Amino acid sequence: MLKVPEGYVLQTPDLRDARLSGRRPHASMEPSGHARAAVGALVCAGLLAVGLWALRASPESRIGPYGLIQALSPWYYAVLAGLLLSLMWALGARKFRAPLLSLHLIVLVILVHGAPAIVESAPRFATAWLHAGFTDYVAMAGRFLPRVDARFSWPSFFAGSALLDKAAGLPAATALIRWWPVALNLLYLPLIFQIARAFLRSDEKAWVATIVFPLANWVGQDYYSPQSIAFLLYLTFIFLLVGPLGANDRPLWPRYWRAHGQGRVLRMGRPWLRGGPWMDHQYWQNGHRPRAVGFHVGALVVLMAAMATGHQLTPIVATGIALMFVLAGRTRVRWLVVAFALMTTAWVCYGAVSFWAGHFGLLVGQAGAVRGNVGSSILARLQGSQPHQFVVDARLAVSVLIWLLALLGGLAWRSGGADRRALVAGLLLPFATVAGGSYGGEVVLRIYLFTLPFAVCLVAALIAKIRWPSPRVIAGALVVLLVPLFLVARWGNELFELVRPSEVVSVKALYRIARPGSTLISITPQLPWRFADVARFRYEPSNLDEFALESLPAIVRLVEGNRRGGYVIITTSQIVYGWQTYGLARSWGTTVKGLLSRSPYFWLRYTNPNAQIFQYIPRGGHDDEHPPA
Amino acid sequence: MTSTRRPDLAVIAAFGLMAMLAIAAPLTHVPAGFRLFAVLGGVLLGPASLSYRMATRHRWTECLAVGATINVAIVMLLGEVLVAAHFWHPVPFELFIPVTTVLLSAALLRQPVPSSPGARHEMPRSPGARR
Repeated sequence: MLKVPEGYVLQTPDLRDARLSGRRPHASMEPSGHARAAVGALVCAGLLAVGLWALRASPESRIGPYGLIQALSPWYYAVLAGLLLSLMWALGARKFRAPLLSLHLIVLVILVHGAPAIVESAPRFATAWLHAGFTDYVAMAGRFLPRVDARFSWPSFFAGSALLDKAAGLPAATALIRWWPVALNLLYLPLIFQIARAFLRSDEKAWVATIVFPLANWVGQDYYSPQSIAFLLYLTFIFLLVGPLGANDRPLWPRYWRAHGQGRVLRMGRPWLRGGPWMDHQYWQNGHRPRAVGFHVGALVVLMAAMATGHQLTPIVATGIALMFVLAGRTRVRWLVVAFALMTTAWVCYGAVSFWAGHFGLLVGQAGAVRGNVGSSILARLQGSQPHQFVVDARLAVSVLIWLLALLGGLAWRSGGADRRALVAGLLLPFATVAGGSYGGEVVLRIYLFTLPFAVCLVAALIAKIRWPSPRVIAGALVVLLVPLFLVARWGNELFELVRPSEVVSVKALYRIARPGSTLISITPQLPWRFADVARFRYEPSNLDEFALESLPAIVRLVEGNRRGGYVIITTSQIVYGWQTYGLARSWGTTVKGLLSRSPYFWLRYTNPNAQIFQYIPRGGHDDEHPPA
Repeated sequence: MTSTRRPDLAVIAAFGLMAMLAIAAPLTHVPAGFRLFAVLGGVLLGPASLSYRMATRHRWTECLAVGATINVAIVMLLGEVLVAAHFWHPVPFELFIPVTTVLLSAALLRQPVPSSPGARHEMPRSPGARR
């Protein structure tokens, strides 16, 4: 029996949670819990049914320059409002809180992240189609094509998907694309909850963090892609570091920085080697079995191996985060950080040699150019049409709001241990990646994504500190604010990110028409192609600049060297993309089509309401095989 | 069968059943959707969650969340090794995962399973760390 000194109150986590939610402790014994839980579950089921119906009733044709919100039925918004009310009610539930909140979150993710999957007639996002093509190629041929695309230098995602593809007997991996974001977000949530609980040591706060996450995750990196799975591995990696292998030590940096002459040097010595869990008897005495420790360390190594071979950026950030946790005294696996760094470096040096051999500048060319990297990631995105700028503003607003609240949480929350240090370090470290490169102009998106698990924890910590009117009301207000911002930020570009079925038909027609080995040209990257025949044709990168400038000679130069011919494909999504994101005239597509039609080098080979295919005519005259009609 | 805890038995049996479905589905003529469900279920409810439970005896929710991801990582690495070793086509190595799950389920069902600790992770201090 634990003795509590007179005048002290033994504060259990349940009591702390109870104070936060304003409910009475030990209320779980009350019999009304069953009825309330049943009502909550029924409400969830009803809202899901009405929400799905509302999405089915939302016409795809009404998707406009502001994206999906223009097409969504008013009933959808009513359902979301009801769901949020119910969610906040469930947050204060006395009994069956975890299953109730889980149910609400599942419905929220389906309705919010799965909206386009129901509204749109084809699976969305061109790059996902491309990745499906890569997967199908690996499943069929059993090999990679590192010289065809850089992504094959980090191929474990495609290999794993191809293995599933093969086992499930799928005719094409495009079958996975539609519901992939929903599935991935549902897999993220339990890990976010576990991470938040490990840091915040409170179920109540962890639930708040878990509720905020899906509404703050607007970056759209959860489509069928290596980074979507890499982020899942990253979350598990973090949880293992701070959960089962967590520590609550003093920060280590004072021990490593020692005075040395006039300056200070990093002292690499015994502390790096000490602290391996298997060397630590106290660790075992605290209930951790050697088998468990071995399993956790092995799991970390497997996760890092999958990350290092699956994605370029994630293993680097994960290693940095692990190092920060070591320095903050929040994890026990100190020396293993060196192994993580070695694994990441080894794969880049040996596994990804096809990527950087001959163009080393691609790998390190942008390192240190912070201004240029920020410029290409933020400033370049601040152009385009008025509606697009509105969407970009919404994205910036969500990001700034979350980061600001997280920083305030870092200042206001007094954890009295390594938790706050580790969370703040985890929040700040991903910003260092901006010095490494622009990552195709997406580095800020990636930074936001990598900071998000820590940010939502700090936001939850901040909310718990606000006592008036109550943390639950504050959490509800934040969620109500985030929902519309999310819908604009996440689905605001849907007019060009959606895939029109007739565009897919046109790409299939192109594959039927084009001779193997011919050159295929897309005017912008927004085209759902390469989902088949990845290795049969020569794909030129998108040539928006040439087309936008109406530079026909530059386009001719791309195809004239290929004796098997060349084709240019133009689709509605590509034209909308140029108009919305590059601020081109709305009619620029018509101009380009007219240019190609009048040119002696091209003739219109295929057309449908959303796509045209122009075939190159060799200089000697018309192609004998396909003369113009 | 030595385990007496009904939830444990139910979860372990679900794992075993899903793994058997994942093994049987590619060998039989079932609808494509059901086959996909069986294969995805066989991966997500794969051996890592059971191993996690066996090794740590943490809560099932944690074992499922972490184990599912480790299973995904194993599938990725297995696929990559198979491609690199040119073993892609001849042998259905993808069955390795559900077969392991079935074996582990059997092992867990035969093992006495103590009640779940249900507690949060304690954060022990490193030896030598000062307060």
